[in-house]
Amino acid sequence: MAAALRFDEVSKSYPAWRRLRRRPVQALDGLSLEVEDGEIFGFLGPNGAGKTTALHLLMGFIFPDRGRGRVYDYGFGDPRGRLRIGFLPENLGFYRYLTAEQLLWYYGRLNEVPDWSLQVRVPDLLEKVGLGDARQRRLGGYSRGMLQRLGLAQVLIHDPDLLVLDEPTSGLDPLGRRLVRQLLLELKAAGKTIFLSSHLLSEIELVCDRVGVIHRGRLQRVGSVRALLEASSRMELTVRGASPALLDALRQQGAEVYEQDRLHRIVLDRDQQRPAIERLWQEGGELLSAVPARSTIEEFFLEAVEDTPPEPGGPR
Amino acid sequence: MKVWAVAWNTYRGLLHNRALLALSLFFLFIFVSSAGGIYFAARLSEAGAAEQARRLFAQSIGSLLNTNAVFSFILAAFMGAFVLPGEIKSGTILPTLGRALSRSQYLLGLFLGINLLLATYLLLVAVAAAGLMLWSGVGVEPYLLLGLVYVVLIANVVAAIAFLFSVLVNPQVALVALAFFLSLGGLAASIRLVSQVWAERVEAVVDYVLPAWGLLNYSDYLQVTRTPAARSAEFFAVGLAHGLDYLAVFLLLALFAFRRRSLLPPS
Repeated sequence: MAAALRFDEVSKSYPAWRRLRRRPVQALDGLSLEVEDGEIFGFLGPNGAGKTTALHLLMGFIFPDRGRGRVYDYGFGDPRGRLRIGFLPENLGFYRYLTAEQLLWYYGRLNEVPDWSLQVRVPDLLEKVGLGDARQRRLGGYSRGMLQRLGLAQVLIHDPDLLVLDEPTSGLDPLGRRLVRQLLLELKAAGKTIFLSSHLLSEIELVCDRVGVIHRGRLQRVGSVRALLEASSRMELTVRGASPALLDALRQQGAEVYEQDRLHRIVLDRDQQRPAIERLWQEGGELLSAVPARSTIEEFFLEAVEDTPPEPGGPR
Repeated sequence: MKVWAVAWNTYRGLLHNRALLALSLFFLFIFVSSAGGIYFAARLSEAGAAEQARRLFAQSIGSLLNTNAVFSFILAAFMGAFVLPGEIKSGTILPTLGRALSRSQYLLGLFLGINLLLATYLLLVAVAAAGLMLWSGVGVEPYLLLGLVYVVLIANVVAAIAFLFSVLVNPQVALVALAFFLSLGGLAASIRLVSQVWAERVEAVVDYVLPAWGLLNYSDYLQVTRTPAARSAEFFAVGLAHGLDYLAVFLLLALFAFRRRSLLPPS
Protein backbone atom coordinates (compact mmCIF):
# COMPACT_ATOMS: atom_id res chain seq x y z
CA MET A 1 0.00 0.00 0.00
CA ALA A 2 1.26 3.51 -0.84
CA ALA A 3 2.37 5.84 1.91
CA ALA A 4 0.10 8.81 2.51
CA LEU A 5 2.61 10.43 4.82
CA ARG A 6 6.31 9.90 5.34
CA PHE A 7 8.95 11.41 7.62
CA ASP A 8 12.56 10.63 6.65
CA GLU A 9 15.09 11.34 9.40
CA VAL A 10 13.45 14.65 10.23
CA SER A 11 15.11 16.75 12.92
CA LYS A 12 14.02 20.06 14.34
CA SER A 13 15.42 22.16 17.15
CA TYR A 14 14.22 25.41 18.65
CA PRO A 15 16.58 28.14 19.78
CA ALA A 16 16.63 28.67 23.52
CA TRP A 17 18.81 30.72 25.81
CA ARG A 18 19.95 29.41 29.15
CA ARG A 19 22.40 31.24 31.40
CA LEU A 20 23.36 33.60 28.56
CA ARG A 21 24.27 30.69 26.31
CA ARG A 22 22.39 29.52 23.27
CA ARG A 23 21.33 25.93 23.86
CA PRO A 24 18.90 24.69 21.23
CA VAL A 25 16.15 22.38 22.40
CA GLN A 26 15.94 19.32 20.21
CA ALA A 27 12.23 18.81 19.52
CA LEU A 28 12.61 16.10 16.87
CA ASP A 29 15.67 13.96 16.46
CA GLY A 30 15.74 11.94 13.25
CA LEU A 31 12.06 11.04 13.16
CA SER A 32 11.26 8.41 10.55
CA LEU A 33 7.69 7.26 10.16
CA GLU A 34 5.33 6.09 7.46
CA VAL A 35 1.54 6.19 7.51
CA GLU A 36 -0.12 4.04 4.89
CA ASP A 37 -3.02 5.14 2.76
CA GLY A 38 -6.33 4.25 4.42
CA GLU A 39 -5.05 3.58 7.92
CA ILE A 40 -5.70 5.38 11.19
CA PHE A 41 -2.42 6.02 12.92
CA GLY A 42 -2.35 7.02 16.58
CA PHE A 43 0.55 9.29 17.43
CA LEU A 44 1.22 9.08 21.15
CA GLY A 45 3.69 10.77 23.39
CA PRO A 46 3.99 12.65 26.66
CA ASN A 47 3.86 16.45 26.77
CA GLY A 48 6.83 17.98 24.99
CA ALA A 49 7.67 14.76 23.16
CA GLY A 50 7.57 16.46 19.75
CA LYS A 51 4.10 15.44 18.50
CA THR A 52 2.87 18.92 17.65
CA THR A 53 6.24 19.85 16.15
CA ALA A 54 5.92 16.87 13.80
CA LEU A 55 2.42 17.96 12.82
CA HIS A 56 3.50 21.55 12.21
CA LEU A 57 6.40 20.36 10.08
CA LEU A 58 4.20 18.23 7.89
CA MET A 59 1.83 21.17 7.38
CA GLY A 60 4.75 23.44 6.45
CA PHE A 61 4.23 25.87 9.33
CA ILE A 62 7.85 25.39 10.36
CA PHE A 63 10.82 23.89 8.56
CA PRO A 64 13.08 20.97 9.49
CA ASP A 65 16.76 21.44 10.27
CA ARG A 66 17.53 18.10 8.65
CA GLY A 67 15.63 15.40 6.82
CA ARG A 68 12.57 15.63 4.65
CA GLY A 69 9.06 14.36 4.41
CA ARG A 70 6.28 13.88 1.93
CA VAL A 71 2.50 14.04 1.92
CA TYR A 72 1.46 11.82 -0.96
CA ASP A 73 3.80 12.98 -3.73
CA TYR A 74 4.48 16.45 -2.40
CA GLY A 75 7.03 17.85 0.01
CA PHE A 76 5.90 19.17 3.38
CA GLY A 77 4.19 22.53 3.04
CA ASP A 78 3.42 22.22 -0.67
CA PRO A 79 -0.07 23.73 -1.25
CA ARG A 80 -0.87 20.87 -3.66
CA GLY A 81 -0.23 18.41 -0.85
CA ARG A 82 -2.24 20.51 1.60
CA LEU A 83 -5.19 20.36 -0.77
CA ARG A 84 -5.47 16.69 0.24
CA ILE A 85 -5.09 17.33 3.97
CA GLY A 86 -7.66 18.32 6.55
CA PHE A 87 -5.84 19.78 9.55
CA LEU A 88 -7.14 20.37 13.05
CA PRO A 89 -4.59 22.15 15.28
CA GLU A 90 -4.64 21.69 19.03
CA ASN A 91 -5.32 25.35 19.77
CA LEU A 92 -7.52 26.41 16.94
CA GLY A 93 -8.05 30.14 16.46
CA PHE A 94 -11.23 31.41 14.83
CA TYR A 95 -12.33 34.70 13.37
CA ARG A 96 -14.77 35.84 16.04
CA TYR A 97 -16.65 38.15 13.69
CA LEU A 98 -17.64 35.36 11.28
CA THR A 99 -20.54 32.96 11.61
CA ALA A 100 -19.95 29.21 11.33
CA GLU A 101 -21.38 29.26 7.81
CA GLN A 102 -19.17 32.13 6.70
CA LEU A 103 -16.09 30.44 8.13
CA LEU A 104 -16.75 27.20 6.28
CA TRP A 105 -17.40 29.09 3.04
CA TYR A 106 -14.12 30.94 3.51
CA TYR A 107 -12.09 27.79 4.12
CA GLY A 108 -13.92 25.95 1.36
CA ARG A 109 -13.03 28.63 -1.16
CA LEU A 110 -9.39 28.56 -0.07
CA ASN A 111 -9.47 24.84 -0.78
CA GLU A 112 -10.90 25.32 -4.25
CA VAL A 113 -14.31 23.83 -3.43
CA PRO A 114 -16.83 25.15 -5.98
CA ASP A 115 -19.66 27.31 -4.66
CA TRP A 116 -22.38 24.87 -5.77
CA SER A 117 -20.73 22.17 -3.67
CA LEU A 118 -20.33 24.45 -0.65
CA GLN A 119 -24.04 25.24 -0.77
CA VAL A 120 -24.70 21.60 0.04
CA ARG A 121 -21.66 20.72 2.13
CA VAL A 122 -21.72 23.61 4.59
CA PRO A 123 -25.20 22.98 6.07
CA ASP A 124 -24.63 19.21 5.94
CA LEU A 125 -21.38 19.41 7.87
CA LEU A 126 -22.77 21.81 10.44
CA GLU A 127 -25.68 19.43 11.05
CA LYS A 128 -23.29 16.52 11.31
CA VAL A 129 -21.24 18.16 14.07
CA GLY A 130 -24.34 19.35 15.89
CA LEU A 131 -24.10 23.05 15.03
CA GLY A 132 -27.04 23.26 12.66
CA ASP A 133 -28.98 25.57 14.96
CA ALA A 134 -26.01 27.86 15.63
CA ARG A 135 -24.81 28.26 12.06
CA GLN A 136 -25.84 31.93 11.80
CA ARG A 137 -24.33 32.86 15.17
CA ARG A 138 -21.02 34.71 15.36
CA LEU A 139 -18.14 32.58 16.61
CA GLY A 140 -17.39 35.08 19.38
CA GLY A 141 -20.46 33.67 21.13
CA TYR A 142 -19.47 30.01 20.77
CA SER A 143 -18.40 27.83 23.70
CA ARG A 144 -15.08 25.95 23.58
CA GLY A 145 -16.85 22.69 22.80
CA MET A 146 -18.80 24.31 19.94
CA LEU A 147 -15.58 25.72 18.50
CA GLN A 148 -13.97 22.30 18.65
CA ARG A 149 -16.94 20.83 16.77
CA LEU A 150 -16.61 23.58 14.19
CA GLY A 151 -12.92 22.71 13.99
CA LEU A 152 -13.89 19.22 12.92
CA ALA A 153 -16.31 20.60 10.33
CA GLN A 154 -13.61 22.81 8.80
CA VAL A 155 -11.32 19.80 8.54
CA LEU A 156 -13.88 18.01 6.36
CA ILE A 157 -15.04 20.91 4.20
CA HIS A 158 -13.01 19.85 1.15
CA ASP A 159 -13.39 16.09 1.67
CA PRO A 160 -9.66 15.50 2.25
CA ASP A 161 -7.88 12.18 1.80
CA LEU A 162 -5.64 12.64 4.84
CA LEU A 163 -6.82 14.02 8.17
CA VAL A 164 -4.22 15.37 10.55
CA LEU A 165 -5.83 15.82 13.95
CA ASP A 166 -4.10 17.21 17.01
CA GLU A 167 -6.09 16.33 20.15
CA PRO A 168 -9.49 16.33 18.41
CA THR A 169 -11.47 15.68 21.60
CA SER A 170 -9.81 18.39 23.63
CA GLY A 171 -12.47 20.57 25.28
CA LEU A 172 -15.35 18.28 24.35
CA ASP A 173 -17.95 16.84 26.72
CA PRO A 174 -18.73 13.08 26.64
CA LEU A 175 -21.33 13.60 23.92
CA GLY A 176 -18.84 15.49 21.83
CA ARG A 177 -16.25 12.78 22.33
CA ARG A 178 -18.67 10.14 21.18
CA LEU A 179 -19.43 12.26 18.13
CA VAL A 180 -15.73 12.46 17.29
CA ARG A 181 -15.31 8.70 17.70
CA GLN A 182 -18.29 8.05 15.43
CA LEU A 183 -16.97 10.53 12.90
CA LEU A 184 -13.53 8.91 12.91
CA LEU A 185 -15.03 5.46 12.43
CA GLU A 186 -17.19 6.76 9.55
CA LEU A 187 -14.15 8.31 7.94
CA LYS A 188 -12.22 5.10 8.43
CA ALA A 189 -15.02 3.17 6.73
CA ALA A 190 -14.88 5.70 3.86
CA GLY A 191 -11.20 4.82 3.38
CA LYS A 192 -9.70 8.05 4.70
CA THR A 193 -6.24 8.16 6.18
CA ILE A 194 -6.07 9.65 9.67
CA PHE A 195 -3.02 10.79 11.58
CA LEU A 196 -4.30 11.25 15.10
CA SER A 197 -2.28 12.80 17.88
CA SER A 198 -3.91 12.31 21.26
CA HIS A 199 -3.23 11.81 24.93
CA LEU A 200 -6.35 9.72 25.36
CA LEU A 201 -5.31 6.11 25.10
CA SER A 202 -8.88 4.82 25.20
CA GLU A 203 -9.69 6.78 22.04
CA ILE A 204 -6.60 5.54 20.30
CA GLU A 205 -7.50 1.96 21.20
CA LEU A 206 -11.03 2.34 19.84
CA VAL A 207 -10.26 3.84 16.45
CA CYS A 208 -6.62 3.32 15.48
CA ASP A 209 -5.08 0.58 13.36
CA ARG A 210 -1.51 1.33 14.44
CA VAL A 211 0.09 3.40 17.15
CA GLY A 212 3.49 5.00 17.41
CA VAL A 213 5.01 6.40 20.56
CA ILE A 214 7.29 9.39 20.29
CA HIS A 215 9.46 10.48 23.18
CA ARG A 216 12.30 13.00 23.34
CA GLY A 217 11.85 13.65 19.64
CA ARG A 218 12.35 10.06 18.57
CA LEU A 219 9.89 7.40 17.55
CA GLN A 220 10.34 4.79 20.26
CA ARG A 221 7.88 2.12 19.24
CA VAL A 222 5.31 1.38 16.56
CA GLY A 223 2.74 -1.40 16.81
CA SER A 224 -0.57 -2.65 15.52
CA VAL A 225 -3.42 -2.04 17.97
CA ARG A 226 -5.07 -5.33 17.06
CA ALA A 227 -1.87 -7.29 17.66
CA LEU A 228 -1.37 -5.52 20.95
CA LEU A 229 -4.88 -6.34 22.10
CA GLU A 230 -4.62 -9.95 20.96
CA ALA A 231 -1.30 -10.33 22.68
CA SER A 232 -2.72 -9.04 25.89
CA SER A 233 -2.13 -11.42 28.75
CA ARG A 234 -4.77 -9.74 30.91
CA MET A 235 -8.53 -9.60 30.55
CA GLU A 236 -11.05 -7.31 32.13
CA LEU A 237 -14.38 -8.81 33.23
CA THR A 238 -17.37 -6.77 34.34
CA VAL A 239 -19.68 -8.91 36.45
CA ARG A 240 -22.81 -8.62 38.57
CA GLY A 241 -23.66 -10.81 41.58
CA ALA A 242 -20.20 -12.26 42.21
CA SER A 243 -19.97 -13.85 45.66
CA PRO A 244 -17.43 -12.52 48.18
CA ALA A 245 -15.85 -15.99 48.24
CA LEU A 246 -15.25 -15.89 44.49
CA LEU A 247 -13.79 -12.41 44.66
CA ASP A 248 -11.50 -13.41 47.53
CA ALA A 249 -10.32 -16.48 45.64
CA LEU A 250 -9.54 -14.36 42.56
CA ARG A 251 -7.68 -11.79 44.64
CA GLN A 252 -5.56 -14.57 46.10
CA GLN A 253 -4.69 -15.68 42.53
CA GLY A 254 -3.43 -12.20 41.72
CA ALA A 255 -6.51 -10.65 40.14
CA GLU A 256 -7.38 -7.00 40.70
CA VAL A 257 -10.98 -6.41 41.83
CA TYR A 258 -12.74 -3.05 41.73
CA GLU A 259 -16.27 -2.41 42.98
CA GLN A 260 -18.48 0.11 41.26
CA ASP A 261 -22.27 0.53 41.61
CA ARG A 262 -22.92 -3.09 42.68
CA LEU A 263 -20.82 -4.25 39.74
CA HIS A 264 -17.35 -5.70 39.94
CA ARG A 265 -14.57 -5.07 37.48
CA ILE A 266 -12.02 -7.87 37.62
CA VAL A 267 -8.67 -7.71 35.87
CA LEU A 268 -7.11 -11.18 35.70
CA ASP A 269 -4.74 -13.30 33.65
CA ARG A 270 -6.15 -14.71 30.42
CA ASP A 271 -5.86 -18.32 31.69
CA GLN A 272 -7.85 -17.49 34.83
CA GLN A 273 -10.74 -16.18 32.77
CA ARG A 274 -12.60 -19.38 31.93
CA PRO A 275 -12.67 -20.94 35.46
CA ALA A 276 -13.68 -17.58 36.93
CA ILE A 277 -16.60 -17.18 34.51
CA GLU A 278 -17.75 -20.79 35.02
CA ARG A 279 -17.74 -20.37 38.79
CA LEU A 280 -19.58 -17.06 38.49
CA TRP A 281 -22.32 -18.68 36.43
CA GLN A 282 -22.54 -21.64 38.82
CA GLU A 283 -23.15 -19.23 41.68
CA GLY A 284 -25.87 -17.44 39.70
CA GLY A 285 -23.83 -14.37 38.84
CA GLU A 286 -23.91 -12.57 35.51
CA LEU A 287 -21.08 -11.71 33.12
CA LEU A 288 -21.65 -8.31 31.55
CA SER A 289 -18.48 -7.98 29.49
CA ALA A 290 -15.09 -9.55 28.88
CA VAL A 291 -12.52 -7.44 27.01
CA PRO A 292 -8.74 -7.34 26.80
CA ALA A 293 -7.46 -5.28 29.71
CA ARG A 294 -7.31 -1.64 28.69
CA SER A 295 -3.90 -1.23 30.17
CA THR A 296 -2.40 -2.90 27.08
CA ILE A 297 -1.96 0.32 25.14
CA GLU A 298 -1.08 2.07 28.37
CA GLU A 299 1.63 -0.48 29.08
CA PHE A 300 2.90 -0.16 25.51
CA PHE A 301 3.04 3.59 25.93
CA LEU A 302 4.65 3.52 29.38
CA GLU A 303 7.23 0.95 28.39
CA ALA A 304 8.21 3.03 25.36
CA VAL A 305 8.52 6.16 27.41
CA GLU A 306 10.19 4.68 30.48
CA ASP A 307 12.74 2.67 28.51
CA THR A 308 14.06 5.81 26.85
CA PRO A 309 17.43 6.90 28.23
CA PRO A 310 17.70 10.61 29.06
CA GLU A 311 19.20 12.70 26.27
CA PRO A 312 21.71 15.40 27.02
CA GLY A 313 20.41 18.57 25.37
CA GLY A 314 16.99 17.07 24.76
CA PRO A 315 13.74 18.64 25.85
CA ARG A 316 13.35 18.83 29.62
CA MET B 1 -9.71 34.18 -6.18
CA LYS B 2 -7.93 32.87 -3.06
CA VAL B 3 -6.07 36.17 -2.64
CA TRP B 4 -9.40 37.99 -2.83
CA ALA B 5 -10.95 35.63 -0.29
CA VAL B 6 -8.14 36.37 2.18
CA ALA B 7 -8.33 40.10 1.38
CA TRP B 8 -12.07 40.25 1.95
CA ASN B 9 -11.76 38.35 5.24
CA THR B 10 -8.93 40.64 6.37
CA TYR B 11 -11.02 43.67 5.48
CA ARG B 12 -13.94 42.37 7.53
CA GLY B 13 -11.63 41.65 10.45
CA LEU B 14 -10.21 45.17 10.33
CA LEU B 15 -13.71 46.64 10.26
CA HIS B 16 -14.39 44.80 13.51
CA ASN B 17 -11.19 46.01 15.16
CA ARG B 18 -12.17 48.17 18.14
CA ALA B 19 -8.89 50.12 18.28
CA LEU B 20 -9.29 51.17 14.65
CA LEU B 21 -12.90 52.11 15.28
CA ALA B 22 -11.90 54.36 18.21
CA LEU B 23 -9.25 55.99 16.02
CA SER B 24 -11.87 56.62 13.33
CA LEU B 25 -14.19 58.33 15.79
CA PHE B 26 -11.36 60.62 16.84
CA PHE B 27 -10.73 61.50 13.23
CA LEU B 28 -14.41 62.12 12.64
CA PHE B 29 -14.34 64.72 15.40
CA ILE B 30 -11.42 66.57 13.75
CA PHE B 31 -13.06 66.28 10.35
CA VAL B 32 -16.25 67.88 11.57
CA SER B 33 -14.36 70.72 13.26
CA SER B 34 -12.39 71.53 10.08
CA ALA B 35 -15.66 71.55 8.14
CA GLY B 36 -16.54 74.68 10.10
CA GLY B 37 -13.50 76.49 8.62
CA ILE B 38 -14.54 75.66 5.07
CA TYR B 39 -18.05 76.88 5.71
CA PHE B 40 -16.84 80.21 7.13
CA ALA B 41 -14.45 80.62 4.19
CA ALA B 42 -17.44 80.42 1.86
CA ARG B 43 -19.39 82.93 3.93
CA LEU B 44 -16.41 85.37 3.94
CA SER B 45 -16.21 85.08 0.19
CA GLU B 46 -19.87 86.00 -0.08
CA ALA B 47 -19.23 89.03 2.13
CA GLY B 48 -16.62 90.31 -0.32
CA ALA B 49 -13.51 89.41 1.70
CA ALA B 50 -12.13 87.29 -1.13
CA GLU B 51 -8.46 87.25 -0.04
CA GLN B 52 -9.25 86.34 3.57
CA ALA B 53 -11.71 83.75 2.31
CA ARG B 54 -9.06 82.20 0.03
CA ARG B 55 -6.57 81.99 2.93
CA LEU B 56 -9.08 80.54 5.35
CA PHE B 57 -10.26 78.06 2.78
CA ALA B 58 -6.68 77.00 1.99
CA GLN B 59 -5.95 76.59 5.69
CA SER B 60 -9.11 74.64 6.33
CA ILE B 61 -8.72 72.30 3.41
CA GLY B 62 -5.03 71.93 4.28
CA SER B 63 -5.93 71.06 7.83
CA LEU B 64 -8.53 68.58 6.61
CA LEU B 65 -6.13 66.85 4.28
CA ASN B 66 -3.35 67.05 6.83
CA THR B 67 -5.47 65.26 9.41
CA ASN B 68 -6.65 62.83 6.79
CA ALA B 69 -3.07 62.08 5.76
CA VAL B 70 -1.80 61.63 9.31
CA PHE B 71 -4.71 59.38 10.10
CA SER B 72 -4.16 57.31 6.94
CA PHE B 73 -0.49 56.84 7.79
CA ILE B 74 -1.27 55.86 11.37
CA LEU B 75 -3.92 53.48 10.12
CA ALA B 76 -1.56 52.00 7.52
CA ALA B 77 1.31 51.71 10.02
CA PHE B 78 -0.75 49.90 12.64
CA MET B 79 -2.49 47.65 10.19
CA GLY B 80 0.77 46.80 8.43
CA ALA B 81 2.54 46.11 11.71
CA PHE B 82 -0.18 44.15 13.50
CA VAL B 83 -2.25 42.26 10.92
CA LEU B 84 0.12 39.32 10.44
CA PRO B 85 1.35 39.06 14.07
CA GLY B 86 -2.33 39.24 15.11
CA GLU B 87 -3.13 36.24 12.93
CA ILE B 88 -0.16 34.35 14.34
CA LYS B 89 -0.99 35.22 17.94
CA SER B 90 -4.67 34.29 17.64
CA GLY B 91 -3.83 31.03 15.87
CA THR B 92 -6.12 31.85 12.93
CA ILE B 93 -3.17 31.59 10.57
CA LEU B 94 -2.84 27.82 11.07
CA PRO B 95 -6.21 26.67 9.69
CA THR B 96 -5.92 29.28 6.93
CA LEU B 97 -2.43 28.34 5.78
CA GLY B 98 -3.31 24.69 6.30
CA ARG B 99 -5.25 25.06 3.05
CA ALA B 100 -4.15 24.90 -0.55
CA LEU B 101 -2.84 28.40 -0.28
CA SER B 102 0.73 29.56 -0.79
CA ARG B 103 2.36 31.91 1.67
CA SER B 104 2.67 34.57 -1.04
CA GLN B 105 -1.04 34.38 -1.80
CA TYR B 106 -1.82 34.69 1.88
CA LEU B 107 0.45 37.68 2.45
CA LEU B 108 -0.80 39.45 -0.67
CA GLY B 109 -4.34 38.81 0.54
CA LEU B 110 -3.57 40.44 3.88
CA PHE B 111 -1.99 43.43 2.15
CA LEU B 112 -4.91 43.75 -0.22
CA GLY B 113 -7.25 43.64 2.77
CA ILE B 114 -5.40 46.58 4.31
CA ASN B 115 -5.70 48.39 0.98
CA LEU B 116 -9.42 47.74 0.83
CA LEU B 117 -9.82 49.39 4.21
CA LEU B 118 -7.63 52.35 3.26
CA ALA B 119 -9.55 52.72 0.00
CA THR B 120 -12.88 52.63 1.82
CA TYR B 121 -11.67 55.20 4.28
CA LEU B 122 -10.26 57.54 1.64
CA LEU B 123 -13.35 57.16 -0.51
CA LEU B 124 -15.43 58.26 2.46
CA VAL B 125 -13.06 61.19 3.02
CA ALA B 126 -13.25 62.18 -0.67
CA VAL B 127 -17.04 62.02 -0.69
CA ALA B 128 -17.29 63.92 2.60
CA ALA B 129 -14.77 66.58 1.51
CA ALA B 130 -16.49 67.03 -1.85
CA GLY B 131 -19.81 67.28 -0.06
CA LEU B 132 -18.38 69.95 2.26
CA MET B 133 -17.07 71.97 -0.66
CA LEU B 134 -20.35 71.80 -2.51
CA TRP B 135 -22.30 72.62 0.63
CA SER B 136 -20.12 75.66 1.37
CA GLY B 137 -20.58 76.83 -2.21
CA VAL B 138 -16.90 76.87 -3.31
CA GLY B 139 -17.16 73.91 -5.68
CA VAL B 140 -15.05 70.73 -5.74
CA GLU B 141 -11.33 71.34 -6.13
CA PRO B 142 -9.86 68.73 -8.52
CA TYR B 143 -6.47 68.70 -6.80
CA LEU B 144 -8.15 67.18 -3.77
CA LEU B 145 -8.46 63.92 -5.65
CA LEU B 146 -4.81 64.05 -6.64
CA GLY B 147 -3.88 64.71 -3.03
CA LEU B 148 -5.86 61.67 -1.96
CA VAL B 149 -4.13 59.49 -4.54
CA TYR B 150 -0.84 60.66 -3.09
CA VAL B 151 -2.04 59.81 0.41
CA VAL B 152 -3.10 56.31 -0.71
CA LEU B 153 0.31 55.73 -2.23
CA ILE B 154 2.28 56.94 0.79
CA ALA B 155 -0.02 55.00 3.12
CA ASN B 156 0.68 51.90 1.05
CA VAL B 157 4.43 52.41 1.28
CA VAL B 158 4.05 52.94 5.03
CA ALA B 159 2.01 49.72 5.34
CA ALA B 160 4.54 47.81 3.23
CA ILE B 161 7.47 48.94 5.43
CA ALA B 162 5.56 47.98 8.58
CA PHE B 163 4.60 44.70 6.93
CA LEU B 164 8.20 43.85 6.09
CA PHE B 165 9.50 44.47 9.59
CA SER B 166 6.59 42.70 11.23
CA VAL B 167 7.41 39.64 9.09
CA LEU B 168 11.10 39.93 9.91
CA VAL B 169 10.88 40.72 13.61
CA ASN B 170 7.73 41.87 15.43
CA PRO B 171 5.16 44.71 15.32
CA GLN B 172 6.98 46.85 17.86
CA VAL B 173 10.22 46.80 15.87
CA ALA B 174 8.14 47.41 12.73
CA LEU B 175 6.80 50.65 14.17
CA VAL B 176 10.27 51.79 15.27
CA ALA B 177 11.70 50.99 11.82
CA LEU B 178 8.85 52.86 10.23
CA ALA B 179 9.47 55.91 12.37
CA PHE B 180 13.13 55.75 11.31
CA PHE B 181 12.29 55.56 7.60
CA LEU B 182 9.75 58.35 7.78
CA SER B 183 12.11 60.62 9.69
CA LEU B 184 14.92 60.13 7.15
CA GLY B 185 13.58 62.94 4.97
CA GLY B 186 13.59 65.39 7.87
CA LEU B 187 16.92 64.17 9.24
CA ALA B 188 19.11 66.34 7.03
CA ALA B 189 16.99 69.40 7.77
CA SER B 190 17.43 68.84 11.50
CA ILE B 191 21.18 68.36 11.17
CA ARG B 192 21.42 71.52 9.07
CA LEU B 193 20.57 73.48 12.19
CA VAL B 194 23.90 72.32 13.61
CA SER B 195 26.14 71.76 10.62
CA GLN B 196 25.68 72.48 6.93
CA VAL B 197 28.47 70.08 5.94
CA TRP B 198 27.05 67.13 7.87
CA ALA B 199 23.57 67.87 6.61
CA GLU B 200 24.80 67.56 3.01
CA ARG B 201 26.61 64.31 3.82
CA VAL B 202 23.51 62.82 5.41
CA GLU B 203 21.41 64.00 2.50
CA ALA B 204 23.81 62.32 0.08
CA VAL B 205 23.70 59.04 2.01
CA VAL B 206 19.91 59.07 2.25
CA ASP B 207 19.64 59.89 -1.44
CA TYR B 208 22.05 57.07 -2.29
CA VAL B 209 20.32 54.43 -0.16
CA LEU B 210 16.78 55.56 -0.85
CA PRO B 211 16.75 57.56 -4.12
CA ALA B 212 14.06 60.23 -4.32
CA TRP B 213 12.82 59.27 -0.86
CA GLY B 214 12.24 62.96 -0.28
CA LEU B 215 9.46 62.95 -2.86
CA LEU B 216 7.46 60.90 -0.43
CA ASN B 217 8.21 63.25 2.39
CA TYR B 218 5.18 64.15 4.34
CA SER B 219 5.94 67.91 4.52
CA ASP B 220 6.37 68.06 0.73
CA TYR B 221 3.04 66.44 0.38
CA LEU B 222 1.51 69.18 2.49
CA GLN B 223 3.04 71.83 0.23
CA VAL B 224 1.52 70.08 -2.72
CA THR B 225 -1.92 70.13 -1.32
CA ARG B 226 -1.73 73.70 -0.07
CA THR B 227 -0.27 75.22 -3.20
CA PRO B 228 -1.07 72.79 -5.98
CA ALA B 229 -0.27 75.24 -8.73
CA ALA B 230 3.33 75.47 -7.54
CA ARG B 231 3.96 71.83 -8.47
CA SER B 232 4.23 70.59 -11.99
CA ALA B 233 2.64 67.45 -13.41
CA GLU B 234 6.13 66.00 -13.67
CA PHE B 235 6.57 66.34 -9.92
CA PHE B 236 3.49 64.23 -9.34
CA ALA B 237 4.45 61.70 -11.99
CA VAL B 238 7.96 61.22 -10.59
CA GLY B 239 6.58 61.05 -7.06
CA LEU B 240 4.02 58.44 -8.02
CA ALA B 241 6.58 56.38 -9.91
CA HIS B 242 8.98 56.37 -6.97
CA GLY B 243 6.15 55.62 -4.59
CA LEU B 244 5.22 52.58 -6.65
CA ASP B 245 8.87 51.54 -6.78
CA TYR B 246 9.18 51.62 -3.01
CA LEU B 247 5.88 49.85 -2.57
CA ALA B 248 6.95 47.03 -4.87
CA VAL B 249 10.39 46.69 -3.28
CA PHE B 250 9.16 46.55 0.32
CA LEU B 251 6.34 44.19 -0.57
CA LEU B 252 8.64 41.84 -2.47
CA LEU B 253 11.07 41.84 0.45
CA ALA B 254 8.20 41.01 2.81
CA LEU B 255 7.09 38.13 0.55
CA PHE B 256 10.63 36.81 0.41
CA ALA B 257 11.11 37.05 4.19
CA PHE B 258 7.79 35.30 4.80
CA ARG B 259 8.73 32.26 2.71
CA ARG B 260 10.68 30.64 5.56
CA ARG B 261 9.17 32.29 8.60
CA SER B 262 7.81 30.16 11.43
CA LEU B 263 4.06 30.55 11.78
CA LEU B 264 4.05 29.79 15.47
CA PRO B 265 3.85 32.53 18.08
CA PRO B 266 7.24 33.30 19.64
CA SER B 267 7.60 31.46 22.96
